[in-house]
Amino acid sequence: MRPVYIVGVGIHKFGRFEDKPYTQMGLEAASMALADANMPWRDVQQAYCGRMYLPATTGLRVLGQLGRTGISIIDVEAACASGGAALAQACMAIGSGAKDTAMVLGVEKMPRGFMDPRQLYEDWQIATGLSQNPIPWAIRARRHMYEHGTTVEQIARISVKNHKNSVHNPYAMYQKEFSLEQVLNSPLVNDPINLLSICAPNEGAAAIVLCSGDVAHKYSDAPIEVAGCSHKVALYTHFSVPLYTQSAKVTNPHVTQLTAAEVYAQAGIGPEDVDVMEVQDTDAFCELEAYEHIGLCPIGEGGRLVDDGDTQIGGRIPVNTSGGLISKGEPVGASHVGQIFELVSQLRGRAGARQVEGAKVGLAHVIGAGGNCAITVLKR
Amino acid sequence: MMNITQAQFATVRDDFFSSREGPLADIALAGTVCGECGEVSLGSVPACPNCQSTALTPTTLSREGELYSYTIVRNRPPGDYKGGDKAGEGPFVPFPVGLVELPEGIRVLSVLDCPLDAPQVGMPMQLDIYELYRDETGQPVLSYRFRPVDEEAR
Repeated sequence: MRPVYIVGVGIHKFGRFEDKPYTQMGLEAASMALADANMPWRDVQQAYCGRMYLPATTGLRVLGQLGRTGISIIDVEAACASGGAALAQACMAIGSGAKDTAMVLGVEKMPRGFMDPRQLYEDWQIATGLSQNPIPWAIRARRHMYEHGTTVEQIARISVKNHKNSVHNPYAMYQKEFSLEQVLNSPLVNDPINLLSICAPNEGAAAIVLCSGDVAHKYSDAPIEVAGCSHKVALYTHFSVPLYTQSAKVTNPHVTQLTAAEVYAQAGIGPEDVDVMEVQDTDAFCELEAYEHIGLCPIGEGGRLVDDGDTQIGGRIPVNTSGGLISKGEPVGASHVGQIFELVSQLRGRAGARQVEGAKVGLAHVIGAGGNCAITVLKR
Repeated sequence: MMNITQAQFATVRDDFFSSREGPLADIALAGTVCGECGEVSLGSVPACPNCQSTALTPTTLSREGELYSYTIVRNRPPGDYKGGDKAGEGPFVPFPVGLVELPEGIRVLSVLDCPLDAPQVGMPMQLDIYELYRDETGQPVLSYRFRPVDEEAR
């Protein structure tokens, strides 16, 4: 596979935009990415659109507004990893030599509250009340606390960190700091996870313009290399939403561990080489678990990493400098693409008050329903 | 004809239950055991989710197990939830759910029939087959849940 580069990124703020159609949000993100890349739409040879809750041909409906150029535009759905799966497709298209340029769009417009259970659950799970999405994470959190002594304060501090980072991110839904007490005193949703430690499904869009090394110089003096990108699905039965059974005998690696190993091999790096990360924080425990599975610390020591402040801006490896999904919200089709927007800003040195000094390598991670996981490593 | 074949009970998912007749205390969770790797699944499966074998045999799961982990459902679950007051209407009552580990080596996610402060990791649990609601024909619809073996924890 030949190298693949990012030459432009764009974003539409994540949040609530009641009267604004997704076609407009997506168009603004795509137009921003094309302008950033100095690339006319007619130069784009292939497009993928990550989305989960939007209708058929969402990508075409958004990008077709830029003009009917006749290129292939494909919607990609892989739950919370939809944007990552779309990016993996684009990297294969360019890396294989089939295409020289591609656009990845992520766009979503989701209703308030718990995600519509019919998208993910069978009728019997809805009838019996097993259909709240935080349940699997809450149960994993409780077990982690039991096995490793992780505390609710350690989990809550991740939420405090992400909300603090969000204050400087104009594209986040919530840009507000919360104290440890405020987080701990917010209403419980699924114990031990409470309201200020959980992300809200919402609306938003982001876009990436990619190209091969053969043409990158036409668009950018400082392209960002996609050094690794992979989408995988969990093996039996380590991670699953919906959760209804789990093996007590078979202990396969977690899907984040498997995906990270594949991406580290592609990029020729290890976790110690990464300067800044965006990881899935469906809830604060989900981020703590990601520390362990991505390899920032051994299994069971995620809480200690929090105590040491390693993942704060200024720490050993800052995580979720954007504020994470806890602050931005999670428009599922756009979430990974939004993470890439943040990492490109960091690697270009344009992240303002959120800047990680000298960041050269960034990693983005998403995981969600079905055990869908995607990880991307960027290098400048 | 319908009445001749109609079972005594409807269920939330027929393949999870060993029977649809008789006293509730005689009904157990049904599963599938893989003839190659020995992995046990809840209900019927077309292939072993662990090793992909199709050499599968029906089995009945143990009634007692141990609580592996748990959480509390604090808000009414989204969609057509039938629990609590059986009609799915009226005030919502929070309830615990947990993974119960059975001796067959499988953990089953289940509603827990006990007070919110009762669940403890490792506590012994026993199966309870119960009527979740009545369908539009008035037929009882069964589901499964687990409750503490220790009566003082119920």
